[in-house]
Amino acid sequence: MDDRTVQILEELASGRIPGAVPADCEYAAELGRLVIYLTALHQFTLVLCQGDLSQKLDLPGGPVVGSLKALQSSLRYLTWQTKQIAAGDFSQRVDFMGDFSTAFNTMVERLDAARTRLVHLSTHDSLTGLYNRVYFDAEFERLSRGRGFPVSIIMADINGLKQANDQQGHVAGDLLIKKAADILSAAVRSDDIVARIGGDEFAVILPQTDIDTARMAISRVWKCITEQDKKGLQVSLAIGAGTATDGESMQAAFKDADDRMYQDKAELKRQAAAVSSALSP
Amino acid sequence: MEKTRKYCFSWEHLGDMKLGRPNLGPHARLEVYRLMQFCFRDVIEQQYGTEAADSIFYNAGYLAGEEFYKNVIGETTDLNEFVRKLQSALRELGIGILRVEVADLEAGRLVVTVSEDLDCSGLPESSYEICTYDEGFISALLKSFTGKKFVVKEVDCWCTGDRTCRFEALASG
Repeated sequence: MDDRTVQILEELASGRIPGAVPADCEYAAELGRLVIYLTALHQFTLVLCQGDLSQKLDLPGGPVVGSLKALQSSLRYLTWQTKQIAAGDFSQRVDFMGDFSTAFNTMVERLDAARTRLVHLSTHDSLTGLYNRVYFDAEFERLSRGRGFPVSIIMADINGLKQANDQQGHVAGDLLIKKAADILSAAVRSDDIVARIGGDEFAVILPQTDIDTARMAISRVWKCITEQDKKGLQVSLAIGAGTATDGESMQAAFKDADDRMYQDKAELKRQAAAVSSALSP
Repeated sequence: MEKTRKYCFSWEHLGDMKLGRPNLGPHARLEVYRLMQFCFRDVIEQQYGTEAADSIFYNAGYLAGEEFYKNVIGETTDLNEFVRKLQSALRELGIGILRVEVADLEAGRLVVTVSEDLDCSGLPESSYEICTYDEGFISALLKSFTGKKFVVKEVDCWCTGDRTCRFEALASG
């Protein structure tokens, strides 16, 4: 074997790729092909290291080419999975990259948990655990566009909350709000939307519910109020209901429920005044 | 025509495993499957030629893909759900490990890989891809899911020296 061939082989054996193979050395054609092959592999690996996953490796297959392509394939799949996660699919899991898989999956699980917590915080009232105004409005809009009619709406307002806050403190006021929330939740179905939409105001959306069924729900609220433990704070609610037969009438149903709730409140005040007047000397 | 056929496929041809194989169960060695498949290939190629053999395997894969979608995957319109169900079914049944590299349904282009493929993983290297059955299978799955026709071509295969089979699918027409 001539010296130049030996030198090229020694270079290859020490991990270097010779720049060129003299055409007239022994095994020049074979060594030339080997150098081209290794150079292409090197280029491909470099590009892969730089994060470019789009390159095609046009070399005859074999264990090295196959393994590099498998790595490229894994990275491409990981990229696709990451895009899906970015689009909100937190069910993606990596199971082919050892420790990285564990770290990545933990990250996705924590992101998912954080998202769930954020969604809960942004759609729920922290005091009562009921839905908040944001969620109520979104559901109101969604149901207005839906087909689940008739849709009934119940409005409820706590009587005497300001008085409880002023006379017994805000802890007592908060307790009253929680009790009102529990009573309303207990009186309707689990898939009805019960929301606290203001300080002392609640609203319930009852999909696929006519006015008679809504009135039955209100009766259950009255029953719960009547059956309260007489020892503690007593919840008193003013309540009204309205029913929409289609998306167009949702706002009108909301207004009906609100108006009736205020009528109920006015009636309660009138009755209280009458009782007070009768009792006064 | 249908009435005169002897082998019109029905999912019921897969049989009741519990009833039929109370002791051996539903599993058989992969070599048995490959023995049958590659003997089929051999005889079909000898009798009808290479092109016809490939076409027959593509079409058989297509039929299997249609039935697989109907009976195993089920109707879905969400891409991620479709991929998830498919990945899970292929892994559970030992068909292969499916991964998606590109999924651009609007442009009608998908690139998927199948590792540890039922048909080819571990086979001796040759100068051609052999997963024509898989091509038809994937084509039918995509047609069933999207409603569009897809031409599927295997671009990398264990048999050409790669360690994972790669399929490019392009919507046609």
